[in-house]
Amino acid sequence: MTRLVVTRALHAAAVCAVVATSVFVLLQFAPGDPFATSLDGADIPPGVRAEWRARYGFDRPPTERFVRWAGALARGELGYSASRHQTVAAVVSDAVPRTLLLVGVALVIGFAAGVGIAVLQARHHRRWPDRVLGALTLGGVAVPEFLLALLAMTWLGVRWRLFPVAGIGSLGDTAAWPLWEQVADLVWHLALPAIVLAIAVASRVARHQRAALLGVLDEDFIRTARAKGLGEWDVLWRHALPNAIGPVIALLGLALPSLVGGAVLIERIFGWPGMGLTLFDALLARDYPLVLAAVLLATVLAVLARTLTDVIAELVAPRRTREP
Amino acid sequence: MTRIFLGRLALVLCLAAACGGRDRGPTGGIVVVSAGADAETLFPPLVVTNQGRAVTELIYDKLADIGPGLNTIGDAGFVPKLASTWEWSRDSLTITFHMNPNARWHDGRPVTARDVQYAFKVWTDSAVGAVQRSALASVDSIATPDALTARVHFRERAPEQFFAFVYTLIPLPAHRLAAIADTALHDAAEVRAPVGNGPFRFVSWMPRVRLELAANAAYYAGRPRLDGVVYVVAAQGATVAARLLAGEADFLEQLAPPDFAQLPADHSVRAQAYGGFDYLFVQFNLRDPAATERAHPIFGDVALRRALTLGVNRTAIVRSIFDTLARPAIGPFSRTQWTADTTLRGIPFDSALAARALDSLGWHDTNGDGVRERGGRPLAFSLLVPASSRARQAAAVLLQAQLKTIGVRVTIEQADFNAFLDRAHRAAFDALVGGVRTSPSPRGVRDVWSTPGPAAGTQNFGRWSNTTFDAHVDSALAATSAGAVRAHVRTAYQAAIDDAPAIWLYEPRLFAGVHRRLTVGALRPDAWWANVASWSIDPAQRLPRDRRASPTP
Repeated sequence: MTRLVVTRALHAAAVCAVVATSVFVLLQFAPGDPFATSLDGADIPPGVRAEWRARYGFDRPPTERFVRWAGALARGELGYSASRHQTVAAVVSDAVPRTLLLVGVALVIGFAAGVGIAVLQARHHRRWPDRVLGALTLGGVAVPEFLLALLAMTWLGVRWRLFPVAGIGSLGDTAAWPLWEQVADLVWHLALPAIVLAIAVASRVARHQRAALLGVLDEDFIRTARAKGLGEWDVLWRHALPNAIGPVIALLGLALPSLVGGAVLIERIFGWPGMGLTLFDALLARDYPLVLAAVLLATVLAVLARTLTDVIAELVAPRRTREP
Repeated sequence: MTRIFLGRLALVLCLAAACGGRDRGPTGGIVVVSAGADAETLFPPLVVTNQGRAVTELIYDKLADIGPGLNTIGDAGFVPKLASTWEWSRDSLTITFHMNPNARWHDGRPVTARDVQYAFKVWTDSAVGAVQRSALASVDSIATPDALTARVHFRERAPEQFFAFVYTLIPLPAHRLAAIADTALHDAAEVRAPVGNGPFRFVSWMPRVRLELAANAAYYAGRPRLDGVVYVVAAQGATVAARLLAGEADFLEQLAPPDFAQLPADHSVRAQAYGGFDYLFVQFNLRDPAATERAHPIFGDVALRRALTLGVNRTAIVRSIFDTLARPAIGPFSRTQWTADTTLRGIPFDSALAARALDSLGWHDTNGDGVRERGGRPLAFSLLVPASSRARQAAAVLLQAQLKTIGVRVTIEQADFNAFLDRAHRAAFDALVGGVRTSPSPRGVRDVWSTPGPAAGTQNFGRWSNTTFDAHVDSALAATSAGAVRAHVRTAYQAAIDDAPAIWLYEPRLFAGVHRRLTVGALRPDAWWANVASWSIDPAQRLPRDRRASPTP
């Protein structure tokens, strides 16, 4: 286990270095300017833009900027966001927890729902519940997240007014509210974006988990369990699922980067100011230090998640844990 | 005696009605404004966007504000704000502002002439990088003979010197900011939680989420009717509108055409029209993008530009995209500007005449592929469009179809807005669908359409140059009477229409989305937020959020 963690950590460091360098180089080829849109007024003299470029060091050669940026990163500094008039560290320290909350909740709900759906489908294999749920999960995989998001916003937010259409909290001094009320308010605002993200996760998990379960149900140890007189639900939950869940956990590790990617769109639509929205805004504004920090953090997150799922898969796989 | 007394009484009552209108009617309630962007900063010298202005101009007052007529010549119609009166020197090179003695910063300290002087120093210090400081270039210095008198000395007389000064300079609290180095002002804690002097005081700001303001109970012009204003931010246009339609917001600055179809049947949200300063156009690059010293092989010819304009049915384009929510543009101006002239002679749509004009210029479809050629060169060009604007994309597609019928091939190129601007500044395009948000002043037309140079034409991406236009714009900006300005501007506009450096496409009509519970009065076209202090919410339609928002001290 220690070897696995060390190997993964070294791998993660190498991936992050390559990604950061590649993104820096690619940004140099992107047309545009950090102050093109913010200082675009007809009454703003061109000299002002040149002045601002110089102030933030964008007039220096790319190699010098890269060396400066890498040196600052080594000292734990992420630079300054010209579009936000804040340090990048301050911006990401606000945004990262929000994305982790959104993605984390979506992942937990999606995973639990996906596994539950798969067990139900396996229990009623080739009967109507299996077919209906199969069609629904196929729809969940096929329908783009933005469409789901807009439908959820229109029906659950605008028409039925069950949830707020956007934002992360109610107006006013919510910090003075009782804790349970604060949590309830957060959950209420989190509902729509988390449900939309969770639908995609649950659909993928359900389809993979169903296939894995059906594969395991033909195994000898399942036949033995049934022969012992165990009920079908016990067979599924206690014997089949632990043996079929490993690949799905590995799938989650691979799905996390795409989930973070999907969060860019979901955060934008639901006004959830996490890293996805921050990255999107930073790209449009050509806020290079912020883009680099956001990509770097997303990479770290993806690599960490991959490592974590490997470790969890190692822990939950019964046959492997029984090895001496 | 009785007549004099009654006359004075009537005058006092009129003044009370005009100045103290805010005291009548209900007070209380929180207005939630659904915004598509956040303020980039709360430090007035660095504010560029309308969203930034919409926040900072509620926190900070100006010395005087432009009047409802939007006049920019002299001081006619300007409304006293922090300065209760002002007077001009005989040579017009000095304006003396007398500060309102009741004006207070939100921390209770009086607003003084020193704050005006300090603001001028900050605005003009290149270390701060104030983007609008060129508007103050004609100001030489500001003297403060006493605490409530600011004497502004100008280097030269100009018809718009008063407008340029008071519209740009916002007094800053010297007692709080002067100790901070100018280079550190842009992200100082004092700047992120500003102490202003306007009708609303700063409460909290969660960037990209929301910004809360509360009524300033000690406001020198009377407490605002509202208890507060909250801006809630969403980046997606559909979300911004959905907030209003779901009842989570009370006001939306601009309804997009698709939003109108969703306005609730119960009429809880209404659309309120107010003029806009935007106009959009297809701008031709008159220089060859490959070698700017040469004329563009197609657009260098004015007759061809006019022929292309003849071939475009702008009314049909506007109807298709906007229905009645926009109007075909007339020239390089917006109808909302006081210098606008709707009687100018435009180039009408006539595709048959366009085809004949192209024939006469030697452009013929010799190989039957539907595209005209001359000397082996097809009559084809690329049209650059920002990917962020669906309306401009739709206009480009319709234009492409219309020009195809007269044998012109248009290839549409999309670029994200930053890349679009980058190419525009480098003149790396054939034609682009551009847009300008101008201001009440006619000065803006010089920056966009005058011959490119260090002093003017800085955004003339197409490198168009016309001496008649330049001369009359310069004369208009130097004229001291509104009539003379109008006369010069009219000639300049007509020159621009005749020379066709662009196809003048459309002017969007702005409609704000307003919840029924909110009364807003007239919205000023250049600044919808200008009269927020007099907005009110019907007490019978208060919502829980009106009570739960941060209380007013």
